[in-house]
Amino acid sequence: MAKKNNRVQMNLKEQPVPEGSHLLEVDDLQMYFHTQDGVVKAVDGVSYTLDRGETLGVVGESGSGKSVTAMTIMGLIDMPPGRIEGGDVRYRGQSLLQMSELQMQDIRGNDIAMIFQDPMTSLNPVYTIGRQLGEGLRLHRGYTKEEALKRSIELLEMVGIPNPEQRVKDYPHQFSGGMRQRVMIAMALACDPDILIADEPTTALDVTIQAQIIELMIKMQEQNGNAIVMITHDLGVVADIADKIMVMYAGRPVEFGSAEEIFYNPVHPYTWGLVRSIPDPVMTEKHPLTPINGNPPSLVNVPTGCSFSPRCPYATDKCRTERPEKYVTETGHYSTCHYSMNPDFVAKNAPTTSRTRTTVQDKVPDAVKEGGEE
Amino acid sequence: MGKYILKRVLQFIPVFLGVTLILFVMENVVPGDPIKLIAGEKKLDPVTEQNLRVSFHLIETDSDGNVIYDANGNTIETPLWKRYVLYINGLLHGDLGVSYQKSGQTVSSIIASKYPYTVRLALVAIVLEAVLGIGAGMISAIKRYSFWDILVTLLSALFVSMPAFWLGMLLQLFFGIFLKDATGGAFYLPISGVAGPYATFPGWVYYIMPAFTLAAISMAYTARIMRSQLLEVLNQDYIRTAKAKGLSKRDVIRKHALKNALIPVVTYIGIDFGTMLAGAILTETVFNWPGIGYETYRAITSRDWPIVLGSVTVIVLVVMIINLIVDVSYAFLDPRIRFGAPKDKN
Amino acid sequence: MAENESNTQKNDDFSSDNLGVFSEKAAAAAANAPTSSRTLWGDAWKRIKKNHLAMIGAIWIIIVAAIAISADLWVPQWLGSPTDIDSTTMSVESRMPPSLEHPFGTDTLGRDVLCRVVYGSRISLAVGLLATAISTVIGLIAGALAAYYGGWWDTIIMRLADVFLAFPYTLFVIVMLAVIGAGIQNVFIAIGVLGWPSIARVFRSAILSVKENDYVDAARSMGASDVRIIMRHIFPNSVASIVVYATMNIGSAILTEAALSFLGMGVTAPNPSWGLLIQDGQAYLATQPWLMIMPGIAILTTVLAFTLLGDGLRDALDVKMKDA
Repeated sequence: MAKKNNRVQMNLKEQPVPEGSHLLEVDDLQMYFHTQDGVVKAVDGVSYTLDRGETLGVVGESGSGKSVTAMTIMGLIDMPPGRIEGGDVRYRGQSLLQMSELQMQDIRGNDIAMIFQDPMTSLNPVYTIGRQLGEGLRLHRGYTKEEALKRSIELLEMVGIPNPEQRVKDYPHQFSGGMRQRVMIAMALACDPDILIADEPTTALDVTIQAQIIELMIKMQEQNGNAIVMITHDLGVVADIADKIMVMYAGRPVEFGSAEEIFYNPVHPYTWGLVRSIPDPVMTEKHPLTPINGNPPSLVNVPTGCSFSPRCPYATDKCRTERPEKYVTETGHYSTCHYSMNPDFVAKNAPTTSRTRTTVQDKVPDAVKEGGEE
Repeated sequence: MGKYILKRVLQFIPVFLGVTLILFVMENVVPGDPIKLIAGEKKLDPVTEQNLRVSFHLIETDSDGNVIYDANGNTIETPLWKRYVLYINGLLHGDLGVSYQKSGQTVSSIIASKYPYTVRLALVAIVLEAVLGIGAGMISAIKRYSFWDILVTLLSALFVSMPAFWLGMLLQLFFGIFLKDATGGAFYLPISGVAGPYATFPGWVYYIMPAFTLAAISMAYTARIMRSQLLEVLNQDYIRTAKAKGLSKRDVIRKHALKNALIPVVTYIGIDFGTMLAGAILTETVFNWPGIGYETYRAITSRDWPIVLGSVTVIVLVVMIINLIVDVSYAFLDPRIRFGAPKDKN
Repeated sequence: MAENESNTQKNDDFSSDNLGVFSEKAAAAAANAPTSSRTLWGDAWKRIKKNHLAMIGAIWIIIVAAIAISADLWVPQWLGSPTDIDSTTMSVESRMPPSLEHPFGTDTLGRDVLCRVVYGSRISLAVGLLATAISTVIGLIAGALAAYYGGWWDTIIMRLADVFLAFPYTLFVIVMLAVIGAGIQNVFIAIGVLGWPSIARVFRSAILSVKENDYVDAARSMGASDVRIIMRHIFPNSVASIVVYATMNIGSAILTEAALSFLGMGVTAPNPSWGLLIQDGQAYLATQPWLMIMPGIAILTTVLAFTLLGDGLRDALDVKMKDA
C-alpha cells in the first residue's frame, strides 16, 4: 500500500478477484443503530453477491433498509450510533468492514461509487460542474487541473450532455434535473469504478426522464463493464435493468432471485403485493390497483415472528410467532416465508403474471384487497 | 448580475432621501430657537442676530444674499421644505453647515477630524471579530457537543446578553485598575483615550480594550451564525456526495462545507462593519475615545443640532454604502445569483 | 445549545462530528415510523422540556417577574426605599460595600443598591415586554399587509422598512429620544416604533413562503375570506418564527433601554433603571466597583435568560419548521 500526502492507495482494481470469490460479497450483514429511543435494526441479515457486468436491483418501501445497507457498504454510516452487529462485506475478497477510514477513502469513488436520489441538492452549488467532475480524478489519480478539465468534457459528452465544452464551466443550478442526474452519473463513473451503487436515482425525476436515465446507465454498463446496484421502491424501474433482484422489508431481505424468477415466479406474499402494485397500463374494473394495506413496522419494535405478518393477507398463527428461515432453492432463489416452499400455496395465490399459477384468477382475492386474514 | 447591482443602486436613492428627510424633520421639530442655542446667555445685537439667521437659512434671502422683507417690513421665515432643499443642496456640495457651539467650525471639518479615530477602531475590531468569531464557530460546529462547543455556545450566549458598555467597564476595572494594583503598576492597560504625545504606552496598546469591547458582542453573533450555518451545510446532500467520492473529512469541510457556510457569515461581518462605523457611541463614551460616536453624543447633550444632523447623515450614508457593497458582493459570491436560471428544459 | 446527548466515542479528531447525520435521520425516521399524529406545540413542549438551559432561562424570568411584581410588598421593609433619601443617615450609610445588611452595598446617596436593582427590574421588564409588544404588533400588521396584498402595499411598506433599517439602530433610538425628550414613556415609544421593520420582514417572508403552499389556494377555493385565511392558515404556521423572534427582541429591548438610561436619555433619576445605576456607578469604578457590577449582572442574567429561552424555543419549533 502506497501512502501519498496522507492518503492511502491500494489499487485494488488492478488485482484479480480471488478464486471462488465474487467482486462484491455481502454476507449476512447486520447493522443496528443504538439510539435514545432504542435499538433500530436497520440492516438485519442481508446477503448477496455481485460480479462485473451484473446488475442487482434492491427493491423495498421507505424504511426497508435498502439505502442504509448501501451506505453501510460504503462506510458512510456514523459508527456511533450505528454499529456492525454481524456479517461481512467483501470486495475482491477483502473485508471492507475491517478497513480503516483512510483505506475506505481510497475505495470510495474509485472502486465503488454511489449516486443519490435528489440531483438538485446532491451537487455543491458554489462550484462549477467541471470542478466537481474533476475532483475525483485529481484526488484518486493525481490528474492536473488541465487533464481533469479535458476528461470532464469527455465525461459530459459520454453521458449525453450537449455542448460540453461550454457546460463544463456552468454551475449546478444552470442544469435541469435530468441533466444534473446525468452529471452525477458521469461524476460517479469518472474513475472507472467496479461497482456503481444508485440510490433511487430516478425517484425525483419526471417519468419520461426516468427512462432516459436508466437507458444511460445500461449503456454505460455495456461500455465500462461495471456492476450496478440499483436501489428503488418501484419494481417496475428495475424490470429492464436488473439481472438479480432482492426484495427488502423491515431491514431484511424477504426474497432474492434472478429477475426472471422474481417477476415470473415470486414466492413471497410481499413480492406478490409489489408485483400487483405495478400499475397496469390498462386499468379496467377487473384489474384495479391493488395496494398493500398498512404501514411498514417500526424498526425498533419489530414484531415477533415474520415481520410482514401484520400486513400479510395469508398470515397464520405460525407466521406471527415463528420467524421464518431462508428457504433456498437450488438456483439460489430464496424467500423468507414459511409457505414459500409449498407449491400449492404459491400456485393458488401468486399474481396473474406468475407462470406457476394453476388457477386462472381474473379477480384479485378480496382478502388481498382489504388486507384481511385467511 | 448587472441588473441586480443596478436595482440595488437605484433603491439607494429613495432610501437616502427618506433618511435625510426624517432626520431633517426631527431636528426641526425640536422646540427651541437655534439662535438662543448658539448665543447661550449672551444678548446679541439685532444685526448679528439677523446675520446668523441668514447664515442658517432661517429667513428668506434673494439670490444676492440680501434679506427679503414682506409688506410689513418683517423678515420672512424660510419654509421647511425650502430649508430641506437647501440642506440637500449643501450636502451634495459637501457643506454640512456650521456648528452652533463650536463657533466658526464647519460641521464637515469637525466630522473629518473625528471620523478617522472611529474608522481605525472599527478596523481593529472587525479583524478581531472575523478571526475569533469564525474560528470559534467552526470549532463549535465541527466538534459538536464537545467541551469546546459547550464553551463557545455558553460564552457567546453570555456576550450577546451583556450590555457592551458594561463589558467595557468591567475590562477597565480588571485590566486598568485591579491589574495595576495587583502587579504594583507593572502590567496594566490604559483605561481611556488615545495615545497623546505624552502617552505611557505605544499607540496600539490603547486600542486593545476598546476594540475588544466593540468586537465582543459581534464576535459572539458571528460565532453563532457560523456555527449554525456550518451545521446546516454539513446536513446537505452535496456533503454526502463529497464523502462518497472519497474525500477525507478535513477536505470535505475545507473544500465543500466552508465556502457555502461562509457566504452569509461574511455578509454579516460586512454589515457589522457598517454598524461599527456608525460610531459605537457606547464604547467611545466609556473609553473617552474621540471618535464620531462620542462627538455625536456630545452634540446631542449640548443641543448642537447642526453637528447632530451632519454626523448622523454622514454616518447613515456610510452605513448605506457599506450595505450596498455587501449586497453586491453577496451576489458576486453566490453563483446562484451571479448566473441565472437553467439553460435547458430537461 | 448543549443538549443532553450521550457522549460519543472519539476515534479520530472529527468523530463526534455530524457528517453522517443521514444515519441519524434514517434512524429517527425508522424509529418513529408509525405513530399517531402530534401537534406542533405538544411536540415543541416535549422537546423544550429536555433543554435544560432553556428551562433555567424560563424559570429565572418567572422569578424576576415575580420579584418585580411583588416588590412593594416586601422590599421596602427590608431594604428601604429605592428613591427616597434619608438625609440624616446619608453621610454614614452611603457608599458602603456589600454586607449582610446591604447585600449589594449602598450608593452615594445612601440608598440600598439591591433595593434599587429590584425596582429596576420592573422598568426593564416593562420596557422589554411593552416595547417588544408594540414593535411586534406594528411589524405583524405591516408584514401581513405587505405580503398578502403585494403590489403597491408591498413596495411602500418595504421601502419604509428599508429607510428605518438604514439607520443604525442604537443611533436612531438615541436621536429620536433627543428629539422627543427623555423619560420612560418616550423610551417605550422609541424602542417600540423603531423595532417594527425586522419583525415585518420576518413575518412577510413567512407569509410569502406559506402563501405559495397549496392549502391556501384550497381554502380560498372554498370561499374563505382574506382575513380568515391570514388568521386561520397563515398565522399559525408563521407563529413559530414570530414567537422565537419576539423572545429574542425582549432581550435586546432590555439592553437598549439600559444603554439609553446609561447615556441619560432614558429613565431619569431618581427612578432606578439598571442602565442608570451603572451610570451612577461609573464615577466610582475604582473605589466602589459593586455599584457598577451588580446592576450589570442583573441585566446579564435577565437578558441571558431570554436568549436561552429564545434559543430553546427556536430549536424546539425549528425541527418542525424545517421538516420536509
